Order: sequence, then structure tokens, then C-alpha cells
Amino acid sequence: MKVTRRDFMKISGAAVSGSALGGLGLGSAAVARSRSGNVAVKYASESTTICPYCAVGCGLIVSTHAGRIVNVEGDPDHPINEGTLCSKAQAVRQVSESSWRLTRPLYRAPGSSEWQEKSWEWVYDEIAKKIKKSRDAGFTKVNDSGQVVNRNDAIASVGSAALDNEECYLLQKWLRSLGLVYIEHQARI
Amino acid sequence: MEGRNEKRRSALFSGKMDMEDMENVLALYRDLFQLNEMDPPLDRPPRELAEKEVRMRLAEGFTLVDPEEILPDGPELAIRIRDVLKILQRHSEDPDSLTGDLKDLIDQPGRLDLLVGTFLREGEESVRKSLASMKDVNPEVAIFVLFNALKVPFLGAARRCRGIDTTAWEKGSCPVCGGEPAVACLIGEGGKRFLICFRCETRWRYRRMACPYCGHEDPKESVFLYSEDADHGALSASVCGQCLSYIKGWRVEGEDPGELCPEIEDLKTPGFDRAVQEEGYLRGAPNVFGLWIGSPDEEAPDRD
Repeated sequence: MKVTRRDFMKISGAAVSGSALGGLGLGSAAVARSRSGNVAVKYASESTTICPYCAVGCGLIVSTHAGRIVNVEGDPDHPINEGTLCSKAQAVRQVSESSWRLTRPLYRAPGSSEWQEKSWEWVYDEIAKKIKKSRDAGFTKVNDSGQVVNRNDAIASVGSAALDNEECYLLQKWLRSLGLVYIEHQARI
Repeated sequence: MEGRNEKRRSALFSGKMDMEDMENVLALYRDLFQLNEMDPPLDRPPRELAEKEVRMRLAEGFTLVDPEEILPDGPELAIRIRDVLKILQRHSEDPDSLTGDLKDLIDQPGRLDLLVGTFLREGEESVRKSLASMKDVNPEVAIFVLFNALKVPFLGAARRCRGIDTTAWEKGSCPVCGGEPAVACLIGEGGKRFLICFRCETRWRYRRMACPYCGHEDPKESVFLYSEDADHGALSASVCGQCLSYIKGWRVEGEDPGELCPEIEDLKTPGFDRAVQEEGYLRGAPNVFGLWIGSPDEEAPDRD
């Protein structure tokens, strides 16, 4: 049977216990015990992730306690930023923890000053209806010279740096299918 | 290392330390620190390493120094052991009971060499087994004496390796002597983690999210324990769910550890060790005396 150090220390019990210093005759075991009585420890955990803001893709270490973010710092072992963060990334905790964070879709009707809470389903349907309406109204099949262009000048898109390669590919495919030509990306602005 | 020694000397002898209830422990460390500073250079210095060999050793995971290369001869080692014993006896409440058969062992260089070899190659568990047959020898005393008597050769070896860029070293153990790291410091804005070996006092960079003792790394979750107690503000313990070890670490503002003396801070916070150990984790390396702190007798709790 392989005896691990943990097993060994269990077997040797008192020999390696808090009395280690006391074993030297220093009489300090009681001190160590009395000091320990007052220390309460809490669990927290750290996870690595990537900053959602810009296209640089800095590494972050996010510390959480009881499911809430308590700290965000640069990942010193990440090759892009080596632990440093811009001021925006330093405040990234607010994305999750700000009291102003929106957790449900809000809708303000044209001319209204009031926001109404809506369901995601309602919002998806409305966006789809508006895209369809704008696309149909602004679609140009043939230009003034009679050339087939199949383009839509009524809608533009600004992509987010938070999108990864694959998401950008899908977005581009979808936008082109609508005939969009004004396709821009945050990283170029 | 000189700068760190200066800080430690100032912390130890300025009388400003808040360790009233552990003055006996601090006084012992003060005397050992002075002994290490006084000791003459070794008669068997480690051989010089060529730059190419340094690069190769670090990249391949071989330590810069082979501990057995720098060991003092039996008689010299016996002198060092007696010096350490004398210091310990000076601080002990019962000095006569400390030595037992250890006294005879010191006078037998062959047996002493064997014990030291066992200590370096196989670790303290084997030393405890070897000592089992000896009368009246407290294993804590024997390990304390061996650890501290061997400190000067290791410090000398580390001094010779100072200035060597250890970036290529990827292990959790010490790049100079192969010792396990006792504590860690998180330094600067980016919180770079440096591990510290209490055997040769080398400091080296290591990955933040990895366990230095088993190498386990989970970027999704690395658990640490901390206390909201004012005395432990900058202190936390990274724990490993794989090997159930923990390492204490202090967060330091700026790129310089400043006034922080990890050896002393570690001595000052045995209560934190005990609290972490009550959660079921084991300290990964002994303290600056070469002794384990706490009572690792519980399994890690289920934290679901």
C-alpha cells in the first residue's frame, strides 16, 4: 500500500501536529492554538477568462465568492497583457455587478418617455419584423445602370469586438444574405 | 537576496514587530538568522555552471545545484549541528531533554552522513523512520537541527546562482536546490506569483493558477482561502483540489516586496495555517525552521 504524506502525517499524529514548535521546548504550541482560535477563513475561487470589450483579448482572473464577483485583475500568465489591464477592463466587474445592469429587455415606444419591460420572445419578434420591413423597403435589385446588385442600403451593421472568429463569420454570412453592404467592425473605428 | 536580508535584519532587530505573544519563536529565528550570517563560506562550493549548461538544466527541469555536491564534510557538519543545537537549547524550556541519542549520532560522522543523505534524498519521512530506533530523540528536534545546519550550504549555493534568469524553469520546486516552495508572493499590478524556497531562500516565478506541489492547473476554477481579519488582509492560501495541499501567499503592491519578510510573516500567522488545515488541506512545505505547522488530520470537506 502506498502511504502518502497525508497518510503518514495522520499516522504520526501528534508528532507533526501543532505541537511541532512545542516539541522543541519553546512552549509556543499554546500560543499557536490561541492565535488560530480567532482566524475565520472564507472560500473564494479564481477563474481565467478573456475581457469582453475590445479585440485585443486580454486575459483576466475573476475572483468570486458565493457566486458573486469580488475582484477582477489582469492574468499575469496571459501572453497578451501579462497582467496589465486598461481602465475599462479594470471596471469590467460592473458588467456583472452594477446595480444599473439590465437583466430584462426594456422597450420604449416611439414618442414615449417610459420604458416597458418585455419578454425576450416579444423582442425577437419585433426586431425580426423591423429588419424585414427595412430590408424590403430599402432593397435594390438593379442599379441605375441596369446592373444586378441585390443590395440593401437601409441597414448598416457595426460588429462587436466581443465576437469571436466563428461568430463574425456567421454574422457576415447573415448580413450578406440580407444584402447589407455597410458592414463595419468596432475594432476599425 | 542582500536586500531581503537587510529588510529581515531590520525587521528582526528593530523591536517594532508585533509578535509579543510569540517572542520566544522570534528570538530563536533571530539567533538562527545571525548564525547563518556569521558562518564562513563553504569549503565545497558548487562548481561554476557554463551559460549553456544553465540554459539546458533549466529547460530540462534539472536544478542548478545538486544538493549532495554542496554538502559539508562530516566533521564540519557536526560543528554546524552543535551550533544549531546550542541555539535551540538556549531557547528551550527543557534544554537537557532535547538531544538524547542525537548527541552520540553527531559524534559518528558515518552515521550522520547517512542520516543527512536520507534527509536530502528521501525527505523527512524517511528520517523519522530512521530515528524510530533511537532513544529519546524527538524527531522534531532532529529535523529542525538538520534543516538549519544544512541551511548555510544552500544559502551559499543560491548566492552563487543569483542573477541567473530562471524564466525557463517551469516546475513548482526550487530551480536552485529542488526544495518545495514554502510560501508565495503576488507582486505588482499584474499579481505575478513568485514562490519562495525556505531552504535556500530563492524566489522564482510560477503560474498563478497551478499548484506548485502537483502541477495541477484548472483555469476554470482555482480555489483560495482568505480571512477578513485585519491581521491577515494581504494573506491568502491557494489550495489544490487534486493533492489537497495549500500554499500561503501575500499580495504586495508595486514591483518590490517592500517591507514584507515572508519568513517572518509566515511565523506570525500560524493561526491562519491552522484555520486552513481545519478545512482539510495540508501545508505543502515546512516553515522557516523546517517544521510543519498545524494538525493535518482531516480530509478536505465537500464544498458542493
